Amino acid sequence: MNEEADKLSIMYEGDKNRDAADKIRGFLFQDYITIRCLLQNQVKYVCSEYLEDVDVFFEDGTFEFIQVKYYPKTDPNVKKVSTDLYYQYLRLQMLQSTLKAKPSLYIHRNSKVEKPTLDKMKEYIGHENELLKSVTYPNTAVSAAWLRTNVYSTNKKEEQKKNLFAAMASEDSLKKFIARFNVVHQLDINQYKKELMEVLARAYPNPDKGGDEEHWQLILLGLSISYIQRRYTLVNPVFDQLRVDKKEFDHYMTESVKTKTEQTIVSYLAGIVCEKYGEIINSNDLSDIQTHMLNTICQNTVRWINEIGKNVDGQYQLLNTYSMDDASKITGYRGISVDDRLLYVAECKQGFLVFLGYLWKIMLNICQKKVNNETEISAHFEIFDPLYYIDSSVSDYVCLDFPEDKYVNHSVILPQAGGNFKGVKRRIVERMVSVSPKPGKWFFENSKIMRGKNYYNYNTANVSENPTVADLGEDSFYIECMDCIGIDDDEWSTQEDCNACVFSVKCVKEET
Amino acid sequence: MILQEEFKINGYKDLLVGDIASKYEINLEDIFDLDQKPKELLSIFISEQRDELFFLLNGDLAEIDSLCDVWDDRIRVFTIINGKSEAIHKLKYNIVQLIVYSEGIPDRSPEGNLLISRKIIIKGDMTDKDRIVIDDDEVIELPFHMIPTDAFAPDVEQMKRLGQLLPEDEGLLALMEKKRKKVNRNKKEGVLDKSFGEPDYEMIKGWLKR
Repeated sequence: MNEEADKLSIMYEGDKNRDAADKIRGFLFQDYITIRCLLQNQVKYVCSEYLEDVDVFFEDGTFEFIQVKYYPKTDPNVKKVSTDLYYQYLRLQMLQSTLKAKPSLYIHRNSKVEKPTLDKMKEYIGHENELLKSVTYPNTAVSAAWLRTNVYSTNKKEEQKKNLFAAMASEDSLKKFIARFNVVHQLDINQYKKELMEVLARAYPNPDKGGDEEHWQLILLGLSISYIQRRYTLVNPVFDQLRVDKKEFDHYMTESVKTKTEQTIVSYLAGIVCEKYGEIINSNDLSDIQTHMLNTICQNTVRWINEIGKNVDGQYQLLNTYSMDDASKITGYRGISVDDRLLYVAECKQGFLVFLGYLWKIMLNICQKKVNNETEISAHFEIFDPLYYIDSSVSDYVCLDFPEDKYVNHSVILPQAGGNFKGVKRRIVERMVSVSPKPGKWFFENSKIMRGKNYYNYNTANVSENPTVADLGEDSFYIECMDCIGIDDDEWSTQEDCNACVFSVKCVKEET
Repeated sequence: MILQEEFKINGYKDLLVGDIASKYEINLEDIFDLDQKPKELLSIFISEQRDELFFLLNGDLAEIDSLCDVWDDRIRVFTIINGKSEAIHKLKYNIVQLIVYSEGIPDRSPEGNLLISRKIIIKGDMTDKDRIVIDDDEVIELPFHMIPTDAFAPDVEQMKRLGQLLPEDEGLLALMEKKRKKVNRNKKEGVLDKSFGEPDYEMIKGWLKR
């Protein structure tokens, strides 16, 4: 395998210096596919974001390199996908790899995608008339040197492909490529996740026989996703760092599920983050760039949740933000067992989903204002990270400090408090008036509380009916009703201008 | 005097009784969980004009300063939640914590704290919590308590006696009238003499000896 790994490294050399847009790693759907591949028999390693989106190495020497596409409604660029995969296939042949190449497209799309014919492939690579019948490749060392000189001399992927195809493409290799090429249709992300969780639960059953199966499956999903995504933060990684060894993955999962620990709780939360992302992209017509941005936000959120939720204090901080219970119950959280804490965290799932919804939508609005295309994402990578907006000096609650909000430094996203449960509203308000530092803005949907300026403190001897907006102090705060920020189905593709609504001191609704 | 009766006499209603709270557009769930009424809360009286709210609290169950803080927090939450409510807006600055204690001399410094609510701390016999007995000199702490007008009626006997004390001499009466009279500034042996003249002095002396 070492010799083969070296050949893969030669291929990776040409890929890793590409444009920024190509370097952004991982989409959640492909992480699901990575995990699913790791659970297959005969699999040795799985690599996410190495040569292709997912590279699977089997015990029998089969090497499946997979492009993963999630296009519920739009058409995939079959030309690009097919030529990308042929590019990989051709290089493997040139380098005389002994791996049995299996190019694949895993796609979710409502209508079926056919793999291209020979004529179509010839048209795609642009050498229909002068295409050679066959090409004899030089030995591995010479081929490697040739690639470095003639293909990797540019960092533009399309140019690399063009240069390679011009010299090395042949009818024979195209035929073999097409014969091996698989198009595998996949379920939508939510169905896929559901099946994946069931497979995970069969592989790693809940040791607590009477435990909640839904919670358990989310824990397993969060555990496995966190394991896969750890690799995305590596700088200039090599194959050995990027690959996930099936045995190591199995060991990690088996050990992690033996007893419930802080990791179990944090994995459950990470599972919810993934679930939320899947629901959004499935129920909204997001553009490619929006999906890309949201995916980056989701990935960073998993990393943040893994960090903040790894101890009881961080879990408390989260719960004190989005729980619907009173302060004493949340304070009591610190003293209960891991089992009970996990149950309580699960009880508060709805609040967490709302919290994620508003945090992500506000972030997405900010990001869309600053980033116009995919190549700009890595240039503004920090704005896709929740930590960029969180005041880490505050430990009482998740204190947000949006630089775009010129009036307030401490904000908080609170759970929905609508309906007939008036006690819920009181409990949330009770908690917020006693936290420190007091948030200057509450993002509080459907609370029916007076939006705009409110007071933590007022003097009964100093009645001020018309306070000015200028006196924003520790004793006053703003309530944003969140009517201007859409987080329901079909609302995520709409970009809102936060500066004109939630970051403004004047309520748009009240002006009209 | 029975504290609760004093409220009733003055037109106040207890929101904790029956469905009075909803009639006054107040949701008690904005103050406490209905199945967990705070033990120290005895009544919530609202004025007839709906512009005053008295939280009647048992001060024997906790330190008075911490009790005040807890209830300021509750009231703060209540007013925030009801920021839109006209009914609450009307009484927001007229909320009073009326704390009754039965023994000892408590720290009354919270009365000086006017943030969120006013605080009144009074002594009372809470043997029967529904009929708290307070002394007359405590009841005057209640801002709505009116001291009876007959307390100010003139005492005829006293008036007669006072009249007898007044001088009958016309000349002496003239001295009691307000006049711009230049004061004598005689200096005798270094002592400034600003007193009445000798005849006036003798006249006053005669009246006082009588």
